[in-house]
Amino acid sequence: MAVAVTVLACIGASLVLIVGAPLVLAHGRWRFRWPRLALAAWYSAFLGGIAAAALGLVASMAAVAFSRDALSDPVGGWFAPTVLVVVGWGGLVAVGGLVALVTTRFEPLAAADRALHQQMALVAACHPSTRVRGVDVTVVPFDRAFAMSIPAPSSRVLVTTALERALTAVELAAVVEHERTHLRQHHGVIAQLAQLNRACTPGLAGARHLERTTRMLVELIADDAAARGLGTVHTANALVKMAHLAGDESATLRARRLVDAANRHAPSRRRSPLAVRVQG
Amino acid sequence: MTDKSDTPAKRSRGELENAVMRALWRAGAPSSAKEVQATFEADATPAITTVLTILDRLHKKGSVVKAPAAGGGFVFSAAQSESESAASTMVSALVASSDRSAALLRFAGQLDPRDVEALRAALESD
Repeated sequence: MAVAVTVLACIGASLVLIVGAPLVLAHGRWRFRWPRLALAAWYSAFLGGIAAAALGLVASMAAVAFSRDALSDPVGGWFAPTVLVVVGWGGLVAVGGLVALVTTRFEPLAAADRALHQQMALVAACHPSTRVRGVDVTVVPFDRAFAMSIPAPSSRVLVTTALERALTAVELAAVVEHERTHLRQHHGVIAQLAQLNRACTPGLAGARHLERTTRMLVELIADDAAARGLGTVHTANALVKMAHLAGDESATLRARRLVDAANRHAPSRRRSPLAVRVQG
Repeated sequence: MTDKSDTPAKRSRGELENAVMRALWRAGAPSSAKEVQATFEADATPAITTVLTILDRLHKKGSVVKAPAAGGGFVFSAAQSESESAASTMVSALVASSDRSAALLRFAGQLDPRDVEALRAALESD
């Protein structure tokens, strides 16, 4: 009986975490003030839910396989054995189906990534790179202002000449630091995990929410890292210029978020509206 | 009446543009529309009006530079070398990939509109 209750508790915890957590974590201003905490909370809930389900399944299978007492519990009657057998066998079928689903969904994503790294290798071979604080930065001639990070095995930052011309040296350094943070903290892997999760469970609102929230939170985390390293003003200016160049209003909001955070932490006598001016 | 110079196979606009760009790269020097037309195979030569239309389109895209010719008319040359154009194509492909691949994280332009609105609301309520 105790094992059956434990198994049910694990499955219940799994459902609460996977289905219920998004309802709590998807709201509130705290996500924007502490994006690292928010990202940790999301993935703790996600991975915790999976771990709880796995624990319940393993406990059920172990009870069915190794303990005759669990199946002939005089206190539980029919309940305990039914739970253990249903969860055990049902869980095995579910795991098998999940493995097949993940493999099927993963392969096109993996193929796209292989093609991406091949493209990046060609681009890197044709253009000069410099090493900036442990990361290769490749500047490519392109008429759109653009910067992005490409994770391992390419593991580099790509910047276009259009962006290089539009920013000052320190603003460009802030952009590189932002992208470098993505690489150091493996944000690409986290985003891919969320993408795979959504591909496997497209009908689950929580999975869609996890994917888009991940994209937002990793950008805010990288903004904060760039502001700590190169200064809020330069990072905010880079964002505002990028908003103008790319027609992306969200970059202006991200700049404002950095400025508001800096003003909150500044001593009251030094607080003033930070003038972030777009030059040119 | 059918224009025989475009038979037997009707090529796509993209194929004709690529063929015109290759002709300009091979020429290595500014060429007139007639000179570009002459580079096509005899059984697949587009009409001169087609060549002019394509050159005009490529000029508007910035792929071709148009300059007055000494005896009147215009001459055309590629705005980028073939290798620069190939590199630009690769970068364009990479940029396009960033829209599909979660692994590629861009400095701007990837936030969901709902998250943008939530961020705006949070900033305005602070």
